[in-house]
Amino acid sequence: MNETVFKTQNLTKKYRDTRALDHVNMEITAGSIYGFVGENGAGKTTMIRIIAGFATQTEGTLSLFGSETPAQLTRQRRQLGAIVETPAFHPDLSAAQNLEIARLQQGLPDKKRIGETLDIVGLADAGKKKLRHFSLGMKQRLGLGMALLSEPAFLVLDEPVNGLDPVGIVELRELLKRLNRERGTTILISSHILGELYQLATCYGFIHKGQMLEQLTLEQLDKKCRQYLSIRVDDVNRATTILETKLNTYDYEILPDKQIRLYDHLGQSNLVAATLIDHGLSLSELSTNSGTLENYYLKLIGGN
Amino acid sequence: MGKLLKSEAIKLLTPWGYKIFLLCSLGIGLLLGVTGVALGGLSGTPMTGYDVLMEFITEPQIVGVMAGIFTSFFIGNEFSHRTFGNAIINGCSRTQIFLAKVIVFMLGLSVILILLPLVATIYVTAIQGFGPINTDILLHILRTIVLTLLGYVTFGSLCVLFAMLIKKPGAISGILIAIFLCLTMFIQLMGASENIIIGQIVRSLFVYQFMLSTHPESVLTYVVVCVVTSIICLTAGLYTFKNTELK
Repeated sequence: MNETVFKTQNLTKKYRDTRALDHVNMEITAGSIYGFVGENGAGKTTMIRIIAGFATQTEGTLSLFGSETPAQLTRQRRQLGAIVETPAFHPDLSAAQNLEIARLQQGLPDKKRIGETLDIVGLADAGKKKLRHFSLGMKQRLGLGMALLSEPAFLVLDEPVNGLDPVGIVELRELLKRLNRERGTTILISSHILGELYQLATCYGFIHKGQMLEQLTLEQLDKKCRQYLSIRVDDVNRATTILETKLNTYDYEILPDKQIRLYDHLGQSNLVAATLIDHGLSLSELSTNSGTLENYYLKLIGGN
Repeated sequence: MGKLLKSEAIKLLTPWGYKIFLLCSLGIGLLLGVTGVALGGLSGTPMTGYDVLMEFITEPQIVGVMAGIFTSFFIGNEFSHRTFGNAIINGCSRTQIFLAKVIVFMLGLSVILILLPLVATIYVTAIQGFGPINTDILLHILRTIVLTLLGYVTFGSLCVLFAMLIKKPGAISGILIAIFLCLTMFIQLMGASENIIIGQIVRSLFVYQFMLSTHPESVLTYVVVCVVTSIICLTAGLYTFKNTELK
C-alpha cells in the first residue's frame, strides 16, 4: 500500500458566513499526480493555501507526511515545493538572486543548484535579468524553478500553465512527468484546462462549492468516461438479446428508463440501429456519447 | 536562522531602494549641517559640531518620516509582493521569519537614522570645529548615542507593529508619518500642561522621552519606557503576523 503524503479529514475553512471548504476529506498517495478539478471559487486555491501554510483551517485535521501539529507541519514543508496562485518574487532582484533567497530560506548548502534550476526551467540566459522585466510566462517558469529548487518530495501547483505558451505547456507537462517518473515526486496540480490535466494526472479530486464530490484513480475515471452508444428502445430485454445474439457483444449496461449503454460497435451506429429495427424494435434514441474529463466533470456538478 | 538573516540582508542591500535611503540621509544630513551653520551665523553664536549633534540627533519629525517610508519599503513591500509566503513554503516558521525581518529592519533603520546627525556633525565640525572635548563630554556623547539608538529601535518597533496591522505599503508610510507628526505636536502642546494626569501621560509616551534623549529627566525612565514600548509592540506585531492569512 502506498504511503499517504497528504490527507485531510473533515477540513473546513470559513470566511465569516461563507464556507470555502466544507468537511473536505482528501488523500494523496506517494508517487501520484493528483489532478485537482473545480470551477473558480470551488475551494481549490483555499485548499492549496492551507497546504502551503498561508492560512489555517477552521475545523478538521490536515496531515503532511504523517505530521499534524503546526510545528511539525512547518518542518515538513521543507519537503514541499509550491506555486500558490501566481508566483511571488522580489521585482528589483534578478532571477538568480530570487532563487538565492529561496535557497537560503530552505537551508540548502549547494549554490550550484541555482544554475541547474534555471537550466531546468529554460531560464539559463535570463538569470541576471530583474524580475520586473520578466513576462508572465517567464515568471511562471521561475516560480516552477523556485518550487523545484529543493527537489521536493511533494509539488503543489496552482494553475501552473497560466501564462505559458503552447511550447511551455508541453515542456511543463514533460518535466512534471519526468519528475514523477524519475524522482517519484508526488504532484498536486490544479488546472482549468481539463484536457491538459487528463494527459498528466493519475488520480483526480473533484471539488464543487467547497465540497469534495469525488476522488478517483485514472483507471476508475477512464471506466466512467468510456465512450458509448446510448440506445433507448421500447423493449430492453429483447434488445439485449439481439445485441448478444446478432452483434455478439456483451459489453453493455442497462440503465433505468429503457436505456442501454453499449460500449462496443462505437463506429457502427448504423449497423446497430438497422439490426434493432430489423428485429421489430422501436428505437427512440441512438447517440454516441464522448466520455471526456470535461463531460464527466460537468455531469458531476450537475451542469450541461 | 543565520541563513534567514542573510536572505533578509540580500533583500535590503541588493536593490537600489536602500542605497537611495542612504543617499537621502546623506543629503538631509548635509542640509541640517548647512542649516546649523546658518543658524549659528544668524544668532551670532556659531554652532560647533557638538551643538549640531545634540540638536539634530533627536528630531522626531525627521525620524518619523524616514522610519515610516523605510517600513513601507522593507516590510510593506513584502506583503504587497506576497514574498512572505515564499519563506513559509520554504519551511521557515512565522516566528523565525518575523525575527529575521525585525533584526535586519532595525539595523537598516538605525544606520539611515544615525547617518543624518553624523553627516551634519562632520560637516559643521569641518567648518567650525567640534568644540571642546573632555571625558565628560565624550561620555555624554556616548550615552546620548546609546540612548538614541534605543530610541530608534523603539521607533522601529512601533513601525513593525503598524506594518503588520496595515500591510499596504502606501498606507503604512502615510499612517506612520501622520501618527509621529501628530504625536510630536501633541507632546509639544501638552508637555507644558500643569494638569498632573496629562503631564504623566505625556511623560510616559515614548516620543516624549525620545525628544529628551540628549538630556533625559531620568535615564532609567527613558530606558524603561523604550524597552516596555518595544516589547509590547514587537509581541503584538508577532502575534498579528502569526495570525495573518497571507495572500
